[in-house]
Amino acid sequence: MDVGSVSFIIKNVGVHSDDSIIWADLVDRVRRGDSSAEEELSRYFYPRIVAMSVIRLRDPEVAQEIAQDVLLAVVVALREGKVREPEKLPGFVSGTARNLVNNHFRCLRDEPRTVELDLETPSSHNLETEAELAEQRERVRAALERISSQDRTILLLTLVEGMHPREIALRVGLSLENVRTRKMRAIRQVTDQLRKLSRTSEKTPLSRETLK
Amino acid sequence: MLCALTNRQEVVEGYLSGSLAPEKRDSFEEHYFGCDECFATLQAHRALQAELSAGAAQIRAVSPRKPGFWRWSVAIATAAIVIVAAIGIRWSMKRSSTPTVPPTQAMQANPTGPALAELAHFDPPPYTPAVMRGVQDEATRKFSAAMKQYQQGRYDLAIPGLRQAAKLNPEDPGFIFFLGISQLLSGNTDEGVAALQQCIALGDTPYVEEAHYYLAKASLQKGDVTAAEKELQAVVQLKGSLLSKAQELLQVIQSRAPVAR
Repeated sequence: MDVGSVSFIIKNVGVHSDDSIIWADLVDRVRRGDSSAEEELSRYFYPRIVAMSVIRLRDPEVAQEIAQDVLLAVVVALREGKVREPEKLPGFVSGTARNLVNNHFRCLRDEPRTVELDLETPSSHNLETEAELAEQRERVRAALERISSQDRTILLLTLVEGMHPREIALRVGLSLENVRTRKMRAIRQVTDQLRKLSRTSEKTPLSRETLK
Repeated sequence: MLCALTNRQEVVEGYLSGSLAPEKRDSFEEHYFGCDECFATLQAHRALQAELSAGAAQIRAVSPRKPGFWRWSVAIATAAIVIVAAIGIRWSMKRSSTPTVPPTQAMQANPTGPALAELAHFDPPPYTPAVMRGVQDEATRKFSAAMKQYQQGRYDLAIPGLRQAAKLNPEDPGFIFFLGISQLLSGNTDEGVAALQQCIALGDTPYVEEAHYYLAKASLQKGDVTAAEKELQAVVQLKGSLLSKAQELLQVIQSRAPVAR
């Protein structure tokens, strides 16, 4: 995908002053030995670490192992007061995760192995029960069934085969703009359904509501 | 968190496909570790990617053809119209070959097992526009325009026009029949069932046998084997062109283990 031409605003986006307070408060509570704070931290970051590790490593089992190691390293660092900028906790956790993933890659260089991409259970660790996972899958299927076969093909070529809209346009015989519009609309329909589910099922421990 | 990330969708797609530059990838990871909105979007994309990957074979099977294919299709269909028109068979003029497309819901992993989903597959009833002399009424014009979408596999786009045509002329079984089929092919099973039942309610029309048959398919899509059997038995009783297909399907359904049914 060509993302070089699009504006890429990530740094400093979403860094809200309220969030800085939340992270600093959490770091402080962990440092003071509050076990519930450690639990909140784990519940919030674990699915993110797993997601990142699976995407980078393509190995769900190793991703879970790494997520455990990352959380352990983060909690130890917080307990020992080694985090210099508590308000930037997400950056600290993602950096720790990245380091452990890179370490794993370095180990693999010495011992190459075949890894399987498990696309069947992509976000199971973000959901608390099998029932929620099943509901998520059902919603995805239902949402996919609601869109046209052509839109499903466009999504498949985009998300599974990684094709550029220009290539897809040639493949399906539509204009580039039409492909882009259809793709965005279809993804929005499906993701809206899923986000409704995640909002109701994912009890994010670090939300403002729980921390106030 | 208030997130103002622009092009979130493109960033997520680039991240999942591995096409982001390393520094951008790292930045996005750092961002979604603290952003509920972006993480939810990422997870939704991953779930969608997984489901698409699981159903890839079926999606490819119904993949739209390039325009060139359609040009040939139109040419062939046109030739067929001329031949059929010469023979003068009024109803058979409405059908010709269209691509094989299984129902959208066939990709659903039915709790009764994949075999049921397979049985729910069906080829869209082919349609060839009739050569009409004189001035067409509005309902027919709407129908003709909608069926152009249908012929190109854009069943969802055919629905509004078919609905209008059926509203203008609720006694035309062809309008209602193809509305029902388009609904089924667009994944609107309940609406499709309602239209096909309406078609059957019109009585002895050229579409009654097919309406029963595709109602059986719709019932299978919904996992209602009993209703499917009932519709297939209706097809058998009519002893029409779908007799053998209905009998075969009935046999397969009835041979399924009770637990699977």
